[in-house]
Amino acid sequence: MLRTLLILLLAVPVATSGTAATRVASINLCADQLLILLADPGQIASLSNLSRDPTGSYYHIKARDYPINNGLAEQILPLQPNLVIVGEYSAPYTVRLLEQSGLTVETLPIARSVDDMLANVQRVGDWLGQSGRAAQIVAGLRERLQQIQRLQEQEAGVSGPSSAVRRKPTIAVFDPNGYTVGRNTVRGDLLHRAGWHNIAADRGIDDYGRIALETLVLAAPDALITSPLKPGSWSRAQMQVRHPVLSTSGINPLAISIPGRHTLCEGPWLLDVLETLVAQRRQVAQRHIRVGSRQ
Amino acid sequence: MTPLQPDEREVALPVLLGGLVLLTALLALLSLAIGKEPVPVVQAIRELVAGADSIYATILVQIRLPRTLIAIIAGATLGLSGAAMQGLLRNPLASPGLVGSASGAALFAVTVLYFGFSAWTPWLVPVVGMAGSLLAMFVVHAIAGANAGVTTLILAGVAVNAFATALISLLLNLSPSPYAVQELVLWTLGDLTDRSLNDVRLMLPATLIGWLLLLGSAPKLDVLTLGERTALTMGVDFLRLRWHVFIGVSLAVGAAVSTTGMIGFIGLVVPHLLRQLVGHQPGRLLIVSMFGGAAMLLAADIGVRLIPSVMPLRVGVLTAMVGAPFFLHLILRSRNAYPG
Repeated sequence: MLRTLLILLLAVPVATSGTAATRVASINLCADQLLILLADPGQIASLSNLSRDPTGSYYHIKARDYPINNGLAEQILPLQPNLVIVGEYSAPYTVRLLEQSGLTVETLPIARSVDDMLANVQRVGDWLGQSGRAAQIVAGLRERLQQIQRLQEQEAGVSGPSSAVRRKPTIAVFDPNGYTVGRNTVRGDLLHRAGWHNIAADRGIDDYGRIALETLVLAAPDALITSPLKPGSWSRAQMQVRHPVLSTSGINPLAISIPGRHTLCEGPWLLDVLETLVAQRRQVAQRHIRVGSRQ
Repeated sequence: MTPLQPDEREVALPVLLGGLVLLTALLALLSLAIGKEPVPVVQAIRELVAGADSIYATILVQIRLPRTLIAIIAGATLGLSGAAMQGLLRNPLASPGLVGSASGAALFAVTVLYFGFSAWTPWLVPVVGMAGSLLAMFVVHAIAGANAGVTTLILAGVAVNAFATALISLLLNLSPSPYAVQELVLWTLGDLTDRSLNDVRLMLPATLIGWLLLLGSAPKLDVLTLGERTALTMGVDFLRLRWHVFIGVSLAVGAAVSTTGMIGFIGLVVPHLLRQLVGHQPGRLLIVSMFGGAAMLLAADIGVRLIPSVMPLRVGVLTAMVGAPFFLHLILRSRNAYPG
C-alpha cells in the first residue's frame, strides 16, 4: 500500500507536465548551447559529444554536467526523450530513424544573423516550455543591441558630417585555407553591425567563399579576423593564415582573433563579439585619423 | 646502349642545355605572370628595381617568386635524382617516387609538422625529411637486394610507399589540428600554393649539398655503364658510389618533399625523354635532367593555375596525367625488349 502510494506520488509530476518537453536530447552543437542556456537542468537528457569540446562549444564546461551522445539513434532511443533537437545538417538517416521510432524531432535552423540568433533563442525556449525565460533573455539582448546602435550613431554625430563621407574601415575574415564569409553569416552580420566594410562583399561573396592570398594583399584591408578552431595545433592550412606577406609594411592589417566557440554557434555571446568588433573598429578609425592629420 | 656508340639523335650538350635553360627561364617568367589577380609584372619589376614599396612588387616577390623558385628547385631535384638513380641502378624504372625516397620524406615531415615539433625550429622539417628519405630508400634496397631486377625493386617500392602513405594518413588523423585530415592530398599529390621565401630558405642548404653530391657522381656513373667489375678495376667502388648517390638523393628529395609533398613521375619521365639526346651517357644526363625537371614542374604548376576549379587543383594530378601513360609505354617497351 505504502509502495503504491510512493509510486503514485513519484509518477504525478511526470504525468502532469507531459505536454511540455521534460526530457530533451540534442545531437547538434548549436542546439546544445541553447539547451544549456534555456533549459532547467533536469530537462536535458543528452547533449552531443561536441558540446564538451572547448574549441567549438561556448558552454563546454557546463556541458560536462550532462550525459553525451555521438549522434547515434541507438544512444537516443533508450533515453525515451519527448523531444530530440537536430541540426539542418544532421545525418538524414539518423533523423528519419528517430522520427520513425515515434519521437518528436525538431530541426534548429542555422543562424545567419543576430536576428536569427534571437529567433532561435525564442524558438528553443518555446519548445522547452521556457517561453518566459527566453523572452526575458531576448528582451535584454535587444536592449543591449539598441544601446550599441545608439552609441555608434552618437559617435558618427560627434565626429561630424565629414566622417560620414569618410570610408568605413575595411576588414576580411581569413580563416585557415583562405575561407571567408559574406553578409549572410553570423560573423558577416556582426561585422556589418559593427560598422566595418567587409571586402568579401566586393568579391561577390554573400555567404561562404574562399579568398586568395593575392586578392587579400591587393585589397589591403585594415583588419583581418580569424576564428581559429584549435589554436596551438599545426597544419599547412593554419600556416597560410600566418604568411609573412600579411605582416609586410604597407599591408600589415590589425589581426583580430575571435575564438571559434564564440562564432560557430549563435547565442547571447554574439553581442560580446559585436562589442569587441566595435571597439576594434574605433581603434582602426583613430589610427586613420592620426595618419591623416600627419599628412 | 653503350656510351661508345654515337646515337643519331644525340644533340650537342651546350645546345641541349642552352635550350632547356631558356625553356625553364621562359616558364619561370610565365609562372611569375600568372596568379589569381592581374598583376602588371613589368610595372612591378620596375617598381621593385626603383625600390618603391608597391603592392604589386610585394605580391610578385612574396607570393609568386617563392612559388616559382620552389617549382624550379623541387623540379630540378626530382629530375636530377631520377637520372642519378636510373644511372646507379642501371634500371630505367628507378625514380625517387618509386624507390620510397619521396614517401619516406613525406612521412617524416608530416610527423614533425603536424605534432608541433617543428615549432622548436623550422629546420627540423627538411632535416627529418632527409632522414626519412634515406631510411625508406635503404629499406627498399634491403628488401629488393643489391642485384634486384626491375620487378623486385618496383614491388619493394610499392610496399614501402603503401606503408608510408598509410602511416601519413594515420598520423594526419591523429594530429591535433582539425585541418590535418584534409591535407592528405597535399602530401600525396604535391602542392606549391602560398609558400613564402622562408620556405625557399629552408629547402636551399640541403638541396644544394644534395645537388653537388649527385652532380659529382657523374663521372663514376659513366664508368658504371661498363659494368660493376670493370668499374671496380677503374677505381669505382659500387658500394661507395651507392652511398654517395643515396645520400645526395635523400638530401635533395628530403628538402623538396618536405616543402611540396610528393610530386610523382617527374623523376621518371624527364630522364627518359632526355636520355637519347645525351647519347645515353648517365653523367651528362644529370645536368640536363635538372633543367628538364624544373621545366616540367613549372609547366605543371602553371597548368594547375590555369585550369579553372573551385578548389585548388594539386600539381601531382597533372604530372601523373602525363607520367602514367608514359610509364605504361615504358612497360610495354620493356615487355617487347625482354619477352616472357
